[in-house]
Amino acid sequence: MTSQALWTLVGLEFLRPRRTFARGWLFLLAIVILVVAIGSDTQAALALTSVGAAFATQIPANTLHDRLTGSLEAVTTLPVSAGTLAAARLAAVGLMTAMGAVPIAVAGGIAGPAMLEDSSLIHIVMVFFVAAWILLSVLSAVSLAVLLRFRTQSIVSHGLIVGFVTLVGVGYLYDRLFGSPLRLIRAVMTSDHTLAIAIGSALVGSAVVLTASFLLTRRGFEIYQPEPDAMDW
Amino acid sequence: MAGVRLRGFSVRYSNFFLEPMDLTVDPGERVALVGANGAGKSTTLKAIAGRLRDYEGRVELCGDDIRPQLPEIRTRVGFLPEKLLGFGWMTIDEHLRFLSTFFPTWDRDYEQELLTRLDLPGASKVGTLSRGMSVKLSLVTAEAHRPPVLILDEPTTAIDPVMRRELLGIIGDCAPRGGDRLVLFSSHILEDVEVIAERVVLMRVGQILEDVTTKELQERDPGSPLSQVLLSTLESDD
Repeated sequence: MTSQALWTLVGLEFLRPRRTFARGWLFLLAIVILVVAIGSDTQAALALTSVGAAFATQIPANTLHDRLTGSLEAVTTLPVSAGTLAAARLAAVGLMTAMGAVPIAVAGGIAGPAMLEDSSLIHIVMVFFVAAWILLSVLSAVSLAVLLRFRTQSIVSHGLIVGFVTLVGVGYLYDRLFGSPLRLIRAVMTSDHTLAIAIGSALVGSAVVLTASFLLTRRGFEIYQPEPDAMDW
Repeated sequence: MAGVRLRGFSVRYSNFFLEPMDLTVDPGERVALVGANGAGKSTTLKAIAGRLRDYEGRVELCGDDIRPQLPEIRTRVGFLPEKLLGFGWMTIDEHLRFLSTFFPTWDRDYEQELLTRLDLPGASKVGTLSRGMSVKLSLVTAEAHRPPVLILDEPTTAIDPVMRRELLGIIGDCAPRGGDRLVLFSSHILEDVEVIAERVVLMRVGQILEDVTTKELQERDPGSPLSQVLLSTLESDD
């Protein structure tokens, strides 16, 4: 029963934000058409990356939507444990952010040759995809956990804003402190040794952060006190 | 057999206080909680249905404290909340298919029988249902897994008289007199109490004022309808 319940809930997590996703992909398509029409590879990469990041932050945004519409009450009154609810939501985060990583990988594929002096050793698109997937999954899982556990919906008012501010903020800070992040990317991606260490470290760090996010999310579901007006219209 | 017992059950919120109460409902009983808004009826029903965590005292089902059995205990209680819980973008069929996954005893044939009897079109979106249709769907949700305990929170409020009579008939059929199913419900409509309940718990501002059978109530004024006797009792308790 637990396994069946888990997959039913993962399915629900996929269906719930379908309209947001549809809008996001349509928006992405419009931007791609626009940028191709303009003919600038650099702008295309930037636009695709930004839009891809926006996808990932839709998961915490949907948790906010849960609160406003009462669908959190619908799931928290089911005869399933908070652990199952948290596992389903985080599994959905992992799968849905893969969709958000696609445009970033495409952007990497476009911008890669310009950034890298020798790109023959690596599969640029795949590396960008994995890196983006890990980054977006962690970002989404942490946002989801914090939002659910600490009820920070008034601060995290929209996932898109959070994703944008985080990416731009981190990029800006890195640029001010260490110079252009492109140099780091170039250094990491053109060295097999460094690339292996970077990916390994990212996976270990992600595992730790995702575990913490799971525990926080589970606690958030556990202590959630259903509200009376419950309906996700 | 599933009986319900509250022992020192109490709730303390910033704007609401439910005094410690004791209540025992045996299998086969049909009991109405009656009282004005804020009396604590819904809170009490939610606790028994395993929908409330923050309370003091003990809530038992079949002699066992339900708190350690959460959330699985919810599979043994059918709960019709004041407002339908679900996702408005699902159709009725999808809504029921989704829920059936979580209830091992869900009876698909019985679900279809209820849908037909309640005239609920499976293809309709949950979000487009009227208040009356939402209550009907909630009843199917509460009943399709054939729980031994059925809890109904204001099932007939704000629905038209025809639909109300239809619902009361089905509720009566779900838990016939003399059966072993326990029904607990709350209502503002005193005529409903007369139709369904055999026992009435009168509540006011977080406390039980009286716990009496409908027969005993009727004996207080044999010439008047039970709803009138109930109303007089509530007014005199004020």
